[in-house]
Amino acid sequence: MTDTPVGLVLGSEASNTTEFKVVLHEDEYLQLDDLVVVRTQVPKVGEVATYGMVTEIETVYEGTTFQSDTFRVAVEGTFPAEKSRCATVQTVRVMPEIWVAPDPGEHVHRASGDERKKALYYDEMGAGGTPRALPVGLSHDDEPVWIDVDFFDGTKGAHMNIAGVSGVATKTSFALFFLRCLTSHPEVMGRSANNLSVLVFNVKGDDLMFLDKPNNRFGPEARDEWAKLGMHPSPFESVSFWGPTGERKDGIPEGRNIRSGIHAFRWTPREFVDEGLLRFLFTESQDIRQQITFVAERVERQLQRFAQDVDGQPGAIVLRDPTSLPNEDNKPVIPMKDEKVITNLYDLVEALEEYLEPEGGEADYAWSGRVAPGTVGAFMRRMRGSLPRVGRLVRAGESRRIDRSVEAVTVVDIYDLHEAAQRFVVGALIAEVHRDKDGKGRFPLSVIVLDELNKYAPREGWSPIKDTLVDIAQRGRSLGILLIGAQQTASRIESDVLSNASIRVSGRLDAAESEKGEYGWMLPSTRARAKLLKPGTMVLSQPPIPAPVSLRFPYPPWATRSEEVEETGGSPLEGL
Amino acid sequence: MRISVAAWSPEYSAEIDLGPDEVTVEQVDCSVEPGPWEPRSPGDIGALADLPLAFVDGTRRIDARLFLSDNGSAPVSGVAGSVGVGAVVCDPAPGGPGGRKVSNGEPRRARVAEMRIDRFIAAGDGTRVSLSGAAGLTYQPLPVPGTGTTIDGLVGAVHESMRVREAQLALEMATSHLVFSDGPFAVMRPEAVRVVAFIKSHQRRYLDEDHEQIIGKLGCGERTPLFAFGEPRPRYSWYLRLCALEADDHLWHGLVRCEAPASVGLAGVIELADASASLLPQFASLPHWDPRAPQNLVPVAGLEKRLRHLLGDRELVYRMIRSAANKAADEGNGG
Repeated sequence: MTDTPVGLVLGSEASNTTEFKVVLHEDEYLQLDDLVVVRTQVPKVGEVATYGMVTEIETVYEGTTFQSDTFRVAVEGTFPAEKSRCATVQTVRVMPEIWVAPDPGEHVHRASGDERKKALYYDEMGAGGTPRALPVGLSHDDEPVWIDVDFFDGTKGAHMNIAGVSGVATKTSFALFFLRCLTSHPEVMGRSANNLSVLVFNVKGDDLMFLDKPNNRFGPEARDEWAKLGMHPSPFESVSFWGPTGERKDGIPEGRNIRSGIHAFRWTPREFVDEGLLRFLFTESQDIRQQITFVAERVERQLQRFAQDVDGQPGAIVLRDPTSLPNEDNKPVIPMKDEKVITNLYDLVEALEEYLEPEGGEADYAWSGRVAPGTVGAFMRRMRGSLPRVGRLVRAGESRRIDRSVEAVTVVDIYDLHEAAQRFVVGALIAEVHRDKDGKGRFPLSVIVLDELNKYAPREGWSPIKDTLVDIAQRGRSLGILLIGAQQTASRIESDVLSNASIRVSGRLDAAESEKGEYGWMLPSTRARAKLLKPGTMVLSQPPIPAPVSLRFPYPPWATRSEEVEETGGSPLEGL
Repeated sequence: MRISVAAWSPEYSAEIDLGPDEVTVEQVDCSVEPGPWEPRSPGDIGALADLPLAFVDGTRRIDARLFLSDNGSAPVSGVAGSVGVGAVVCDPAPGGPGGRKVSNGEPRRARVAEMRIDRFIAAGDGTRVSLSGAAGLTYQPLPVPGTGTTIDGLVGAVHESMRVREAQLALEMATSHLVFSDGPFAVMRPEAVRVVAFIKSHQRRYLDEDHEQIIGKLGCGERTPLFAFGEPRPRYSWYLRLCALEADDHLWHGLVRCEAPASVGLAGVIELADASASLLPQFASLPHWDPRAPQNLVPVAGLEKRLRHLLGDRELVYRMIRSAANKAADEGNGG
């Protein structure tokens, strides 16, 4: 408490333990999000400090009754009235924890320095001398805003959910900035920072394809802001980029080869079968209703029994009944005359036809189970339907799977894939992370950044991806998998996934969306403002602080488009 | 027969309630101002236009009735009353009526310049009683001489003390303002050169039937010529109309009577009369806004509201008087 009071606790309206008002001195002001402190003498207890955050400001000509009195006061100058300005304050903390309302007429001060830290529970973040307060943005007065990382890294809670309208809510930008915060503060992150592995999907444009390149528009102002957060502004150091291989040959197709060093990925039929990826071809929510997923599970199991490697053709398989022709030591086999060598999904569909839609016969129960013939037909139609969308992702040859271990951050470009193929890739990779971490302890931590979460974990229906995401949401804390999910509308997300996210962030929200119950963590004033937030401004909620805090995060030092990539060769005029 | 509805709300006494003449119209001199007995429209009001205006008003409230007795004697009546007087200052509006900006281009403003609250215990038989409650609630003695003073008489004493205070404040403000004081003068001194008393309601007739005809002819912002009367406080007076007459209005609608002490001199009072006719219509209130429109001027209404508020919550003050009286009784018994 260093400065002069800004006002007094209003006495003409009742204060309570959650909210009070401050009538402002003539030469002082408060604005939204300002933090204030009031000290009240409580009988038998002594001094109690109440910390609060400004949620609304009101002004009025006192004594006026009619709307037209404003003219009498301000234009005609005939009616005497006092201008009164009043700030509504939401209590965020009382110290010591004696829950009383501040006394009317008490002096209200701005909370700055240590008082501000107390108002934001900085002193409560971390225990046993280990600081756990991670700066993740700046408040409007250019002071850091912290997240208690205990509530992100699984110690006390896990996961982050980011909501907001596409384009202006800067969801992905904030997620990346947050990742940079995680990696820039080893003193806060401690063990969690070691070998942190991050999986990010590039869903829109080229946003994430230049994370390792300096941004030529990064200016001194942004540099200052990074410095205020105690961070050196630099691009991500350890990033690998992956894009789906082309339709006919391995390598990134011309149109998406937007930078050097993108690795082409695909799965071989062998990997497709072994990892049970078939299920990710059936990720639409109506698939479960039509029992197609039942057939898919059956087929998947049969494929795993029947698939044999083909000699001389890496990654390719043939289907051979293990009971009639056992292959004890799993050696690659030489295909027989009537056996179809499966080198891609098209081949696989053809091979499955023999079991599920044999000419002039009925489906093999071992493959189809006892479902109606129509269901088998539907399954095959969906298989064929997915070929042009997903077909390019599965082809025999050298293994070209995504290797997440080469760099800390793995960016997977799925921008030009059909939605079904996007789901296939996301589903396959998330399942892979899940499988890798299951039963192996929390560390090193694995972070998955997933935009358009509503596609993968929708509230309605079931899909194998949703299944995995729900499990990650529920058990991620112990598995060491942390999900940073983002979507436009939290109300369309599976509630298990949402409610397990300890940290909630929101950029600008659609007006109707902001009224939904999913944003119950916001104050009414926050909801009203969420419709107006500027790009780069977010509202943050975390368990230790009982009120949402708004923050802005600085401009990134990495490029988000090819035009922003700083040429490292130096100026062409250099040396002249 | 023409029927007009009184403009003031029925909960107030009527703006016109002409009783039997006390001042006989013969005592009124209608020939003091040169020129014909016709409505007058003020022209340029000269230097008075550049003076800030002050509106002075007071309010009073009887907080409790008391009975005072000493050593078992028969109780004497008393009242505890609160009096508030104050002044609203309005920036001058150069350019006369309709001028909306003060000279530096800022919009004109009205502000409460002064508010004074006093509390009294008026008691008959010249009894001096004071009472001190919590939070600065102190009643000063206001002894009323003579036995057998009725409650009405005591209330009148409180009222009179309010009027004295109004007059005092009006004189103070007059050093640098053109003052309009609500109600007739209680105390007048020759130095009151820039104080105009304005009277909202009409209980007496001052003009004979012939001269009274002029009232029907007054337009908005027009005044009658001056007329003079009064012993022991000789004064000049004039009527002026604050607003235009609508078809269904009675002829006395929107009429106020103003006075200024004769000691100011005829020329000075003519200036004041012109200034009042020029300035006061701007401050007239509207029927939906004030139950005593248009005569209850906007700044005065605002001031009254604030003063009443400062008198304190009626119930609370009543309780504090009771507990202060109890305490005083205990102390009296103990001593």
